[in-house]
Amino acid sequence: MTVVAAAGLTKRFGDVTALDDVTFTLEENAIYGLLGRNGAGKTTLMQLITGQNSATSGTLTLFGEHPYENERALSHVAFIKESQKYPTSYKVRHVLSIAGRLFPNWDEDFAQSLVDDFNLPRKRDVRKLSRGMTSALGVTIGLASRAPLTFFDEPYLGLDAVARQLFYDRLLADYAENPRTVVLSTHLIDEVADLIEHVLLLDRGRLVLDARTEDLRGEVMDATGPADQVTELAAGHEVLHEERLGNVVRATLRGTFDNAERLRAKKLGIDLEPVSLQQAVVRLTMERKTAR
Amino acid sequence: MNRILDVARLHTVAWLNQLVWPWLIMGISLAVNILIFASIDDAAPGKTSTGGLSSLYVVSAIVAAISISQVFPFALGMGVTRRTFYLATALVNVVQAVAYGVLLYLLNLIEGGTNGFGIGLHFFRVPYIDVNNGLLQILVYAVPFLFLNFLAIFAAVLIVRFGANGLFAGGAAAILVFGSLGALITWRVWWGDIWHWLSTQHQVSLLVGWPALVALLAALGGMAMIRRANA
Repeated sequence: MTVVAAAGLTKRFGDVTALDDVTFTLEENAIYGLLGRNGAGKTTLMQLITGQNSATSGTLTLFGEHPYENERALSHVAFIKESQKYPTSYKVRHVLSIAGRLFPNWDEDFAQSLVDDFNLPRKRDVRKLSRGMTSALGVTIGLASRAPLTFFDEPYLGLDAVARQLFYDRLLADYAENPRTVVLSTHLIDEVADLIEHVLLLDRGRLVLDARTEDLRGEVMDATGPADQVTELAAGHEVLHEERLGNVVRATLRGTFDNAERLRAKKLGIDLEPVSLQQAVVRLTMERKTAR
Repeated sequence: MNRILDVARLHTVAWLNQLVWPWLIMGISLAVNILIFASIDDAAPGKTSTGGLSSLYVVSAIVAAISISQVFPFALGMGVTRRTFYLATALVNVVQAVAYGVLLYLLNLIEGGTNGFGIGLHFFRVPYIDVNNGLLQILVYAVPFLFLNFLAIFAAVLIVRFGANGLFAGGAAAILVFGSLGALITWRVWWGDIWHWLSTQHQVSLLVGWPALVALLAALGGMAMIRRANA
């Protein structure tokens, strides 16, 4: 089932185009990585999907319905963001109690176990929480809400490495038992590379990549070898990047690398190896920049 | 409706701020008034009333405005629609106004029973708004809460929707409109007619009817504005 469908989605703030003709779908029960640099439009996109803002043009459906002011559709969405504001009079337990009432699939036991895991002080005022604790509170709400569509907009910026790992572990374990659609928006691409099944890459408001992580891994390769041979191999591919050291060239190529192609590389004396997701994303983003 | 009640909890979950401050400040005002009037040996006849009760209304309106600016962004982040949030907020304010009205009526009875806390003080039995009908008295106490709170909510929504500039622009527009109206009335020498009209209004219209109408208009205006507001 399609959870979100966007077609030609555009959002302008004055003369700034935050989202430019974006078309994609989010399917049921998958973990998506929404990647891109600061200002690429990630948060804007999530705001549109969660009805926090309205699009300038294009169509957008959430569970088959228009999201803006749509109670039924929005009650199935959790949008956890670093910038979430909490009423200053609230304590941690107030936030949890409210979240428990508002999210239909809320699991109180799970929430309490997460509060313990993250050492969240239940009776502390939310505004007195450290940055890391505020992030942990957001993560707790996002996980325990078990919303059919959950967005995490870099809520883990304040979390230290141990707490982040805890988050990834809990997310994966709970996802296995309660499949749902999760969107992780992050800079820490390598950290989530094993988690995400599908990559959406935004660059300056445009969707430049919409691919399964697995496909992408086989699609972007580093080819290292003698310059002439690498140039020969590169002919059938898109060259994202090239580094030269003497007569040795390392080129980042994009295309299909089937067995015949790998064999050909081997015969040419070229070392072919897949790049990390982070490298692929960086190359794809940089390539677009130089192409202009 | 259940969703609205759940969202109403946003305002009441941290009830300490919502309830305690208005009544604490009014309580202090009452205590100070009792002290002052007890220390005056012989207050002039008919001069034993005080406006200390207004503190409860003012603080309650401030609480209402704060609840918008603080709770709205959180509610929106939790997937609550603007409409549901606003209806829940209105519900909380109406229920609260009635409950406060009943409480004030009980305090009114206590003041009457103790002969003005033993010193003839008129703190709750303020002249003119002291009516001889229990139900009407509750309304007379309750409606000003609606009047002030919904105006405060309207102003707070103005800020949420358009920022501080929106509030200032709204204030400027209000001064322009009411100022011109005042000038027009003065120019046409209509004040006499207006006072006459006011003085012939029934007490119930002045204390309940008209303020309730203004509250309703402010409430509807706030609803219309918040539908397009973003946190």
